[in-house]
Amino acid sequence: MQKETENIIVLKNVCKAFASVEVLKNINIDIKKGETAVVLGKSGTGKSVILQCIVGLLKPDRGEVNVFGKNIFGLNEDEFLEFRKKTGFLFQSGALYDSMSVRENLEFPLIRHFNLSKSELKERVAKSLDEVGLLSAIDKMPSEVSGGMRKRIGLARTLILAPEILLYDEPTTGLDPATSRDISHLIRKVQKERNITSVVVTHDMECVDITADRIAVLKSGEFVTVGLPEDVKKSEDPYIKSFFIQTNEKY
Amino acid sequence: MNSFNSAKSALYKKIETAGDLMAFSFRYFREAFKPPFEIKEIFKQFYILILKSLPLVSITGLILGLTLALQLKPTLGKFGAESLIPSLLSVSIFREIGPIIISLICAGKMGSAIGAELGSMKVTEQIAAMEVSAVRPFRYLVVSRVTAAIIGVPLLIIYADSLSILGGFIALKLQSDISIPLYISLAFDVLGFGDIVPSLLKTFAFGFTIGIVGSYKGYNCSRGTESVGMAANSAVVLSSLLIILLDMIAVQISSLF
Ligand SMILES: Nc1ncnc2c1ncn2[C@@H]1O[C@H](COP(=O)(O)OP(=O)(O)OP(=O)(O)O)[C@@H](O)[C@H]1O
Ligand SMILES: [Mg+2]
Repeated sequence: MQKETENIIVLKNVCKAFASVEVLKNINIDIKKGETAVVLGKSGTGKSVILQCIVGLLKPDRGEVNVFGKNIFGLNEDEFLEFRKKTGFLFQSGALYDSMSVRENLEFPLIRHFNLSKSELKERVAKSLDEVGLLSAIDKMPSEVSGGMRKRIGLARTLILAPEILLYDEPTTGLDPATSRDISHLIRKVQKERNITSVVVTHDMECVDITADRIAVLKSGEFVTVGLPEDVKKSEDPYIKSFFIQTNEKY
Repeated sequence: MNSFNSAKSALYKKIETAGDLMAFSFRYFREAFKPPFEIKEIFKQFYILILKSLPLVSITGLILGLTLALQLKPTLGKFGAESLIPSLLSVSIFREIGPIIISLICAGKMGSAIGAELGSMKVTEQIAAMEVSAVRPFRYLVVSRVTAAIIGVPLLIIYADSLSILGGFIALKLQSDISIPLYISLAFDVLGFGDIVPSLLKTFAFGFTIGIVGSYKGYNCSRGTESVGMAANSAVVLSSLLIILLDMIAVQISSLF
């Protein structure tokens, strides 16, 4: 039995620069088991970079990334693969495999990690696609589906591996309001059912309201606030406020 | 002074690329023999690579033999040495012209295809997506393509060499009356171990070069869609250059025996 308060993702003084531009200056956050942390920040502030550091796609220049209690950059190859198996990542672009059909996209990681019979495989793929409302697209190629559909298929492909950590890079961007809401509820549901630890990067305030246990606001390479949604929303800081009034001003 | 510095940094960059490419090649050998193997993907890539190059390789092979025979005819005819044409043809085709020309064609066809495909997968984060789902993209994408090229290029070359010999026969047949058995015995009797084995060995190296350079350029493609075109282009340039250099080295080595 794991303790309720166990920290699953811990970032300590994480810094990352690209060609002398310091994108992340000093990132610190602890994310507990079963918790959903939402990261807010203007475009280009490095939100995607943070997610990529957590999963080890990018190596920070300084600082530590501890996941499941271990520094991920100290793992050997097998341990690293094990860690990756337990981690799901939804790319901002969906990152579907263009040469494979939607079904093959979902099967691709599944057949490599689990010993499933043909019927089990079929069932899991269908169930996962059904969850995102796209069972009808199962035999399409990625080039034949829309941008929003790609993202939802990417989500299905991420969820199908039943990871313990989920990192979502703008899961609802580019979707209509109704679908966005469905996806946000799906993220919440998955988190509740499987006690998943997640990080959600989003600009969608409804998604924040549905999914967030905690909110971290990123500004010039640092988290200026990390706190409960109700506290962050009450902030008087104009930068932080700007995220929350944006929903009303849009229409 | 400034141009000197920029030349210096360009040189450093070249050296760095060479080092990276070496490391990438070693990684291929490290990963190629470790299970789990992506057998199905190797066959698929083999099939795709062969199929893509087959029309061009066929036409080139045939025409190569045909034109070569036609070119040789007047010169050798002057000395009454027309009967040497088949053997001259087969030796030059098998030893040198077949391997180098077909490899350069494959570098153009396969190298650019591999570079562009892996490059676009890199840019659209598909390679990252494989990595994150713990699938070992290097094995799935690179090992399969390089292995397919190592096997595919020599086969294409042998196939094209045979077509060239056929082309030579057609050329001769059009102008004189030579029988197939005679032509074949003239063409193949001269071929010895030293004509076949070294040139076959170097074609494996050419295949490897095409596969590894294309994969390297695609796999290390930088962000932005324009870099996909650059990856494809530089894959062709670099692999062609390396093939010519390797050929020169291979000729030096095989002349020792
Ligand atoms: N692999 C990389 N190489 C070079 N620069 C990068 C790389 N990844 C990100 N950057 C740079 O880091 C900065 C932050 O990028 P990032 O994608 O994290 O922004 P973001 O906060 O996710 O923005 P958005 O909301 O638009 O997705 C950008 O200036 C980007 O150009
Ligand atoms: Mg982003």
